[in-house]
Amino acid sequence: MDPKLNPEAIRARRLTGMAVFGFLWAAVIVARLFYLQGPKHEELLKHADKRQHLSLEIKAPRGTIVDRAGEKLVVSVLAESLAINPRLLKDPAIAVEILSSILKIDARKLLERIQVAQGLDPEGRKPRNPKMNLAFLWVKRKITPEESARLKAYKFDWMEFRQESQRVYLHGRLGANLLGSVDHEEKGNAGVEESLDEDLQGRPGQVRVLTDSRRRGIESRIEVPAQPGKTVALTIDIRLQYYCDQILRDAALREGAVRGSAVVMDPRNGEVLCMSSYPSFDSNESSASVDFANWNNRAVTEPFEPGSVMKVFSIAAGLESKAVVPTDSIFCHNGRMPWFGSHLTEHPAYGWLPVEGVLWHSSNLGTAEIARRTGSRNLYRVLHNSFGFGAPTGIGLPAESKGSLAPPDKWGQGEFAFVSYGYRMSATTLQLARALSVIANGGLMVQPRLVLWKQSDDGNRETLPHKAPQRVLRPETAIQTQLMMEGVILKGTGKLARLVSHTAGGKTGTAKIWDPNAKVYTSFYNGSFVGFAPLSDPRVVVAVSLSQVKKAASQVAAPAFRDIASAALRLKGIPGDLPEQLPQETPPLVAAVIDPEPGQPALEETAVQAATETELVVAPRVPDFRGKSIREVMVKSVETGVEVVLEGSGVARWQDPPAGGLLAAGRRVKVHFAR
Amino acid sequence: MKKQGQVRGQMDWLLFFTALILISFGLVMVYSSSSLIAEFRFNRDHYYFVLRQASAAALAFLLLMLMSRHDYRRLRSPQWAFAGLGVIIFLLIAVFVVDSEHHRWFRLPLFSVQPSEFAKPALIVFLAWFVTRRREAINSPHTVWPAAIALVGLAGAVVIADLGTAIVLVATTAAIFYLAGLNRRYTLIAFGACLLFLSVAVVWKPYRLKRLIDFIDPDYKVLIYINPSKSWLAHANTATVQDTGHHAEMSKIAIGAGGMLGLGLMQGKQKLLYLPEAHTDFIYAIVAEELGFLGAVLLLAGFLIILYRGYQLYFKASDEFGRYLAVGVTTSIVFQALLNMSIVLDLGPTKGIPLPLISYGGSSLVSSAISLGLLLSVSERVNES
Repeated sequence: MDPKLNPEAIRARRLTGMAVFGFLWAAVIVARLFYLQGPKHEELLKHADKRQHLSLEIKAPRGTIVDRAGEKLVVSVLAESLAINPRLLKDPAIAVEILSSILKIDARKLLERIQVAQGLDPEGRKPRNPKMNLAFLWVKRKITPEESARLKAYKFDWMEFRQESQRVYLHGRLGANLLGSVDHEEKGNAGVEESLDEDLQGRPGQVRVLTDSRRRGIESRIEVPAQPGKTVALTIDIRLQYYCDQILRDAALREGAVRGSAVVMDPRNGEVLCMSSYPSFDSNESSASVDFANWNNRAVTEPFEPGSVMKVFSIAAGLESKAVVPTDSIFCHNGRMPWFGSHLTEHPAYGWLPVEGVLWHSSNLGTAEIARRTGSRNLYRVLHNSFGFGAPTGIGLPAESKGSLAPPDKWGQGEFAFVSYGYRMSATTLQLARALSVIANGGLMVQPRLVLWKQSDDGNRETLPHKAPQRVLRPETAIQTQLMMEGVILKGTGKLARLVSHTAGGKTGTAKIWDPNAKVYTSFYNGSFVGFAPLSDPRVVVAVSLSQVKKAASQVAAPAFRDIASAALRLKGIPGDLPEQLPQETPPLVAAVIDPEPGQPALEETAVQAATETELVVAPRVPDFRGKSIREVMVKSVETGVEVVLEGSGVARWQDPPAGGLLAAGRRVKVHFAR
Repeated sequence: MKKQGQVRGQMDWLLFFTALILISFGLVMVYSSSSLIAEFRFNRDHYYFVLRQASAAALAFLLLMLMSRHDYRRLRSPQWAFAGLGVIIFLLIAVFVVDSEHHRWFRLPLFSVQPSEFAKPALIVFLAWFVTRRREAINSPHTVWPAAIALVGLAGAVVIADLGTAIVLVATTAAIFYLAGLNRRYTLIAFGACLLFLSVAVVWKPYRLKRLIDFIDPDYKVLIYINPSKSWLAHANTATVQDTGHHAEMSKIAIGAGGMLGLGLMQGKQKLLYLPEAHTDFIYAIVAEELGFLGAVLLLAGFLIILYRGYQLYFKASDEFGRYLAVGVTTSIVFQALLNMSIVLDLGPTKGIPLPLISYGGSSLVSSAISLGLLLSVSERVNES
């Protein structure tokens, strides 16, 4: 204190000091205000926005899948899900009892989950992890309306019901493997649901909600409207899918098949009319109870060695490369053929067969002989480039297999023979259907397609562009092969595939199943059949395959083809091209021709079946006319009832068909005499 | 009544309108900040808080007019000085017994009364009388000791529940004695005593210490070094009802979001239960959020007008009692306002103290109005000189 000043002056000075202090303090406050509201404004506003607003996703309803006629196959409906708030849950034991009895879930597991969420130890006492104090725990997603009503009646504050969209597969197991499934978030995880996920999903919208600190909404604004998923129409005919699923399942159960698949395609445009797998599953069941092995869409994901059905394509390769013509005689080496230092054998044995006879009777050695004339490169070229073996079909389904077909320079010596009758390569059922479409279509390759139209952004139907059919085969080759395939059904191994009112062509295939672990061919077969109908203007192509059967394809897969093709033709409204006739007796059984595995002697089973064959066969066997005089031949002809056509004079030198084979009805044996 | 020259019978209109505007503005801000809190937190209708505050404001205005009409010089007597002090101390002791939880409120059927708020005018009247009486011997122990005892008694009674008000009481007393000519020795002693008192008050209640630590050492680096097991922190956390670091953060966000011109009246968002005590101790943050830098500075300017005009009365007042009354009232209101703003701006540790005339709270408003009434009464009876 300054002694010179009087007390009044000191007081005035002190008061001024206090006032200055006050104003300085106020200046600091102004500076601080300016700092927070000027330079820091943007940053703090961002902080505020982040805290005060919730960005919520509005789920877009998932698109509907319909079949080609517009029949709804898969739709999304709202379902409720139950969650609990473990913080509010005071007595977990009672809660668990109520929940487990109504929702039929494992009480012990639920109690454990609640205790973990509450941060308690398994006895439910000591805090194990105090930080673990969840306020939200799913109990069961997508509960039924009845369950929801019963739970809501309790009015517990710890229960939270949330609306979720649920996928409903209206036709249950029908085409389940094709349609696939979605996960809990309604994202496709299999089948069409996965491959068309982008279209079906739609785009979720965004809503900005101003909330209070307890996350209660005050006001909301839609920032991005949700865009619902598009409706997608498949080329599938669900009625045909029904028949096809049934027929495949019945055949599989009857024959004890473990797996099977079938495809029906329109050969003119590649539209897949149905695609079945066995065993199947019900997409509506919760995924926990589903055996995932059954989810495979076997028609595209599981390639197999097709066996004799490949002969169609190998012989077509022979025709295409002009190595043979249908009337050529092929020597089938009487069942034992020397082959690059080893022997190929088959049973029953054939001598001379025309090219078409090789196909009818499914002669391995005959096919090998044709393949020899064709040459490895030509064989591969036609199989790969024209028929698409070893290349994916581009149908766009998940996990599609392209099968396998090694290029010829990778083939071992003489391996082309095995390839020619369907071993050492593999193909899916869909690939077989596509390859056969080339023949049915007069040599044009079509790309298999599954999507008929999509809803475009403006809501109209938008047909998807697809590859125009491409010529891959001369028309003559296709038509000659078609006619030969008709013979298979009329005269050869495919008699059980004969349709009542339509002409058809087809081919059986019975392939031994390779056990990759034991590195041997097992005694189970893959029985398959490919065929088309009607002959004059093929409208459906059918490929059926049944795995792990004990019988030959002629008895296993051919009837399945017959039923599926009939259903397809009926549903498509294709008029019959055969004269109407009374229902026939069951066609006579024909001996099974089982393709022996490559390089191995014929198996005992085939011998057994061949033995029974003579009793069953109605068609006469072709006698051996060779070395006989004209008179002797005539006598033999009358005895056996085999009609003959005689050429030349002297001693019989060769005959067609060769001796030992079955003579198809209405066919005559040509006998050539020479001196 | 004319003792020292002419007395003008005209009150300070600037001061009067400033007070009136601040009270009205306070009502608007209480409505803006409390309407959603009333609905969401207390399940009342929007007008719950503002209607209560409006009735308090009506009473406050009435008392303000009464006090300004009333000649303040009639309070210049030992009866008034000691009666006021005695009643307040009695009420404080009574509330200590009655409100066993906070020792703060008398809960009456329709409203609650916070007696500590009324300690301010009572102490100011007492000090003004006392300093006037002892002005020639301000540095005598016979002056200092009774004053210290009175202050310690009152502040001690207040501090039990309400440290903020106690700080204001101490600051006001210090200002009056400093002004009256307390010498440097006593000033230093008083300053040291205040620090000691503050430290004890802080350490006594863990939440107070924690608020201080939150301010000085927000990441607890030092604290964890001293107390590695964090046991003290856990103890303090259980003792603290609300996270005070969170208070400061929310407050800063509100102010910053306001920017220069604010989000607009009623448009603030931090009051959606993000900012605790948005309508009471942290109402200034809402002002800054909704009315921006401009509004916040204007409100501050209102208190600076009170500071300027109040301190001016020291030179104008017709008697010694009026001088100290004016300085005491001005200091207590402005000091509390600046303290509140500083806390809201995170310039000091979080301390529950309302913004005078603005914050929700009837006792605070009425007490401030009585004080301002005294100030206006002084302004009405100034020397013509």
